[in-house]
Amino acid sequence: MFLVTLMAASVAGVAFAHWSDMVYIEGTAEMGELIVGWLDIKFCWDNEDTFDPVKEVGWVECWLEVEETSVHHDPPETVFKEFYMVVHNAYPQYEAGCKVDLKNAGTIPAHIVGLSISDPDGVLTIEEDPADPTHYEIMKDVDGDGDLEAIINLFLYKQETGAPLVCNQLEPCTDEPVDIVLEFKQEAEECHTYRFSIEILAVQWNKAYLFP
Amino acid sequence: MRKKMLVLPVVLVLAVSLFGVAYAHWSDMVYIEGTAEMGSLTLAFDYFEPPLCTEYYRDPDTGVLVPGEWLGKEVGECNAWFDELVEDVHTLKLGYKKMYIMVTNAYPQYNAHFVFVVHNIGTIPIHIVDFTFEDPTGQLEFMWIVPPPATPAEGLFYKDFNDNQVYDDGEEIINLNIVNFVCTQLEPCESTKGEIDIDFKQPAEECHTYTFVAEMLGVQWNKAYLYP
Repeated sequence: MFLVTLMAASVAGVAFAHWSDMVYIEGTAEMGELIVGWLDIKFCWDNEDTFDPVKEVGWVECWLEVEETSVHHDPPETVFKEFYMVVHNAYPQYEAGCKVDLKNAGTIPAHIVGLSISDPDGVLTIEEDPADPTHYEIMKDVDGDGDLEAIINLFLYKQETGAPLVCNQLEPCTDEPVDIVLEFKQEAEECHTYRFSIEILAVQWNKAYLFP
Repeated sequence: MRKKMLVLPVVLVLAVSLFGVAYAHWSDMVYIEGTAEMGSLTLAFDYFEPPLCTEYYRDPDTGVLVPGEWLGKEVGECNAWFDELVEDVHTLKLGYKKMYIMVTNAYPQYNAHFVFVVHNIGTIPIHIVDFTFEDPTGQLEFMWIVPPPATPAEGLFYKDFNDNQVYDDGEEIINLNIVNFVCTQLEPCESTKGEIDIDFKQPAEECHTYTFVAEMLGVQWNKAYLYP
């Protein structure tokens, strides 16, 4: 039956054998990475050398935690996700600050789109100064009269220009020296511990428009 | 119907993509954890050393102060003690907020010297900027003769007998000498010993009780410039 069918098809001009060839596409997509982190702490300081007489009363401790290493760079680039700053034995008019480097350790340009500050203990109110985007007032109703008093002034800005961090683009392998400064106000209470957390959000630069 | 329901989300995503709407993006976050531990400013009378009171009389020939009372009698009596115990929450050190001094059966030219220790039991340096005296009953007025920061500073309680609102000779009741407080700076844990000397003057009235309150003001050392 098969042979009869084959012969009949041949008579009708149908051909089964043919030359053939193939081309291939091998697709590889090597994805970049977006890693923004703290590279290192340059130094911390306070203003006690401006007082008369000069004393060593308060002090600042800073350290970095939670390592993240880029797999793309050679040698590998390591940054830290968390920067801790602890001010000890603070008092009104005391000022303390740290100079730290924020780095884009990945391969994709990063755009800093947001910065939020909160109190993990829920006792402080933090407001941005509308006149100065680098200045945040940390406030508390210290005397219980229903009005908030400023207890700490927090400043966060780029060292070189004094401009705010948000709306800045960090190219890969580029670092941005950052200043964080705390100014303690007269309303700050004795023997209290105030805590605050800052989250800095960076996104791939081509999606920054989603965060107007 | 079921097939239509399955196809609908795919159609929606395709349609939205055509308009250029993107939902996903890469993002990364860095954190700052800040902690501010405030210090404490606690000026207190010393917990370990109680105040000491010593009686004197002035030798009329030499002017020298001699311990005790004239001719060795026991007439007047002075006493001092601390009250209102406090504990600094940082250092856990103890101290007192109040000192009482009591003189009974006093008479003119009776001298009582009170020696006591003030202690910085907090964690911030303290600058003692002021020492004020007043009579809470209002019968006596206080004035500085040699004001602090001179040490000894000299002050005077007087009674305005003639009601002319100023001090006149013959109205002095108690002379005070204060040694070693104003403009003294105390580091944390540091203490200083000082003295208040009381000298009753001739116009002091018999059978009266005179009361005074003294306040010693210490401020954080870096704000002492506000009290020139």
